[in-house]
Amino acid sequence: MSKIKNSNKTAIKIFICFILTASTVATILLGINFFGFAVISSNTNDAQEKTPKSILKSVSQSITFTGETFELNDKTIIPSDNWCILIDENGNIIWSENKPSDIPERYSINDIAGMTRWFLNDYPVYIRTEDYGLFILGIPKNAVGKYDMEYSMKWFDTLPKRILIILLINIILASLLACIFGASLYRRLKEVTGGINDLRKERNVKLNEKGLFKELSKSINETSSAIERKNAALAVRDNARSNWIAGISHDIRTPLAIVIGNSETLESSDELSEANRKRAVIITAQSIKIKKLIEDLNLISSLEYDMQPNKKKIVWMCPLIRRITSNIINSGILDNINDYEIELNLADEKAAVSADEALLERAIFNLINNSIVHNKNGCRIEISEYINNSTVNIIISDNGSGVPNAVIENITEIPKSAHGLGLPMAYKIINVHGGKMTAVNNNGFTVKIKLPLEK
Amino acid sequence: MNELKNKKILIVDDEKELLKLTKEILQSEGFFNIYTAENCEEALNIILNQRIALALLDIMLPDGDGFSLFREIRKFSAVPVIFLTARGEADDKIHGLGLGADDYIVKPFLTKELVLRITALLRRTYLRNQESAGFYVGHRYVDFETASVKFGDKEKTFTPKEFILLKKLYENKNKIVTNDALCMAAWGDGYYGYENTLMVHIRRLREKTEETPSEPKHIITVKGIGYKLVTENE
Repeated sequence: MSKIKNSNKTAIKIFICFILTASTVATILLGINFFGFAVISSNTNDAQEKTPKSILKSVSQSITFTGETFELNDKTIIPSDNWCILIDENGNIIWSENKPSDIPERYSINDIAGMTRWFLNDYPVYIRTEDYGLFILGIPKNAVGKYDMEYSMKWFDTLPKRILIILLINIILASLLACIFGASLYRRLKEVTGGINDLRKERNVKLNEKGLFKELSKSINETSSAIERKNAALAVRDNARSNWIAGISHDIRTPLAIVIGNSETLESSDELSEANRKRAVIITAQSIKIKKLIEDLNLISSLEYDMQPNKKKIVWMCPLIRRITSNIINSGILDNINDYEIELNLADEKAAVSADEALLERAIFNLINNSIVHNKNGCRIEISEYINNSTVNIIISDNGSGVPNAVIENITEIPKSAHGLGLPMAYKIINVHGGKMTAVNNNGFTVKIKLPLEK
Repeated sequence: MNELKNKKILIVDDEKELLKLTKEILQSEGFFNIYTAENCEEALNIILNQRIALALLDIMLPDGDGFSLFREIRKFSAVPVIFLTARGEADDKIHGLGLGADDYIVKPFLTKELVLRITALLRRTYLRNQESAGFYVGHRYVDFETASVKFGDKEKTFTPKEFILLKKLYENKNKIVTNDALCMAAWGDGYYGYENTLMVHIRRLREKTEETPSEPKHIITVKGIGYKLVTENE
C-alpha cells in the first residue's frame, strides 16, 4: 500500500516539475517575442530605402527658390505614383509635383488641422514644415492604413503592474495547458515509477511497451525478467542445498540411533569394567551432541541465508512465553532448580505477532537457556513483556555474571562452529521476523526484543 | 503392570541393525513378544495374523512409505501406532500426527525415551480403567469414578470444570501446567479473558482438596506461569 503511494509521489513530483518548467518556458518565450517583435518591426521601417519622411527630407533639401517659383532639381526624388505640394503661410499652393486634380488649391487652417489625421481626400499624407512653407507628400489611396493612438501617462504608470498580471495569467494558463497535455504523460510516468518501485521489491513487472516511455518500459521489463530468472536460479540452488542438508541429516539419524542405542546398552552392561562403561557414557554423550547438531543443521543453514519464515501465523506471545518457561522448568535442565528463580511479568495478554511459532519458541528458549548455562551457580531470570507503539517488547534479563563482550559484539554473525550458537540464532530469528534484538551486560545480562504487533 | 510386558509389539524398519537394537532394548525392559518387519508387506502380514498391541513404524521403507502403510493398517485395525523416523522436519511430524498416529519419535532417540513412550502409550490404551480409578492428595482420595474427593467420612463432589482442571493437573503431576493449557482443557480457549475464572476455579478446587486452602500444599501456584499438582501418595 505504502509502495503504491510512494510511486505516486515520485510521479507527482516529476509532473509538477514538468508543469513549472513548461509554464516558465512559455512565459519567457512570451517576453522574448514581445520585445523581439518591437525591435524587429522598428528595424524594418528604417531599412526601407525610401520612406515618405526621407522623400520629404530630400525634397526640402533639393528644392530651390528662384525668386518667384520653387524648382525641384531632381524630379526622380518623388516616386511617380506619389505627389507633393508646398503650401505657404496663407494656405496657397506655391509649388506642386504630380498633384492629382482632386487635391484643392487652397487650404484653410481647418484643412491643415484635418491633415493631422494624415489623410487628404483619402490620400495618406505626410507633412514636413520648413520656414518658407509646409510640404505635403501624398501617396496612393489605400497604400497605408493609419490609426490614431493615444496613451495617457497614467497608462504608462500602471504598465509594470499590468505586465505582471499578464505574465501571471500567462503562467497560470501555461500551467493549465501543460496539465491538460501532460495528463497522459503523468499516467505513463506513474506506471513507470510504479514499475521501478516494484522492481526494487523484486516483484514481477510487465509494463506497456508503447508511447513516450517505450524504450524505458522495455528496459524495466527486461530487468524484471532478468531478476526473476536470477531469483529462480537462486531458489533452485537454495532448494538443492537445503534438500541436500535434509538428506544428509536424514542419513545420519539412523546410524546415530544405532550408535546411541548400543552405547546405552554398554553403559549398563555388567560384563564391562567400570572404566569401559564410562567410555560408553562418553560415546552416548558425544552422540547426543551430534544429534543436537543435526537437529539444528537445517535451521542454521536457512538462517545463515536470511531465509524468510514461510510458516507464519498469528502467535500469542504470553502463552508462548509461559509454555517455554514451564517446559524449561519441567524438563529438568535446571540442575539445581532452587538456585534459579524465574519471574514472569507479562503485562499485555493481547500481544500477538505474525511468526513461525517454532522459530520464535527456539529464539526465546535460547535466550532463557543462555542465562541458565552462563550462570551455573544459579541466578534470577526476569522475563517482561509489554506493548508500546504497535511493538511487542520482550525483555529477558538475569542478575548473573553476564556474557563475554566478544559474544555481544559478534551477535549478528552465525558462528562457523556450533559453539555459541544460541544468541546469534535468536538474533537472526528475531531479525527475519522484522524485529530487533539488543543485548547488553548490565548487572547481569539483558536482552531486549522488539517485534511488530499484529492487530 | 506386568500385563503390559506380554503385549505384542511390532517394529518396522528397513535398517536391520536398528531393528535388532530396538528389539534388544525392549527385551531388556521385559517386553518379550517382539515382532520385526523390514517392509510394508511383512508388516501388514504380521498385523493381519497376530494380535499386535502396538506398532513402531519407520517412514522410509523399501516398498512404500510409513504414512501409506499406516492408512492400510487403519482400514482393518485400530492398533496404537508410533512413528519412528529419521525425518525430523516439523511438517512430517504434523503430517504423521494428523493422520491419527498416537506418537512420533525422531531418530536418534534415547533408550529411556523410547521405552517411556511405548510404556505410556500401552498404559493409556490398555490400562486406562485401572489407572484412572483415583489418586491421593495428601490424606484425601480423589475418586475419578464419582468425580469426588473423600476424606474421613466426608465426600465433596467436583463441578465438571473443576474436575477437568484437576484431571489435567493430575495427568501432568509434579510438572507445571500453564494457565493456557488449563483454560484450553476446561473452556477450549486461551487464558486471555479467563484470568479470574481460572483463579476462582482453582480456589474452589483447593477448598475441596487442601487441608488449609490458604496455604496450599498440593495445588501449587507457579506465579505468572500456571499451576502444579504435587502428590505424595502414588
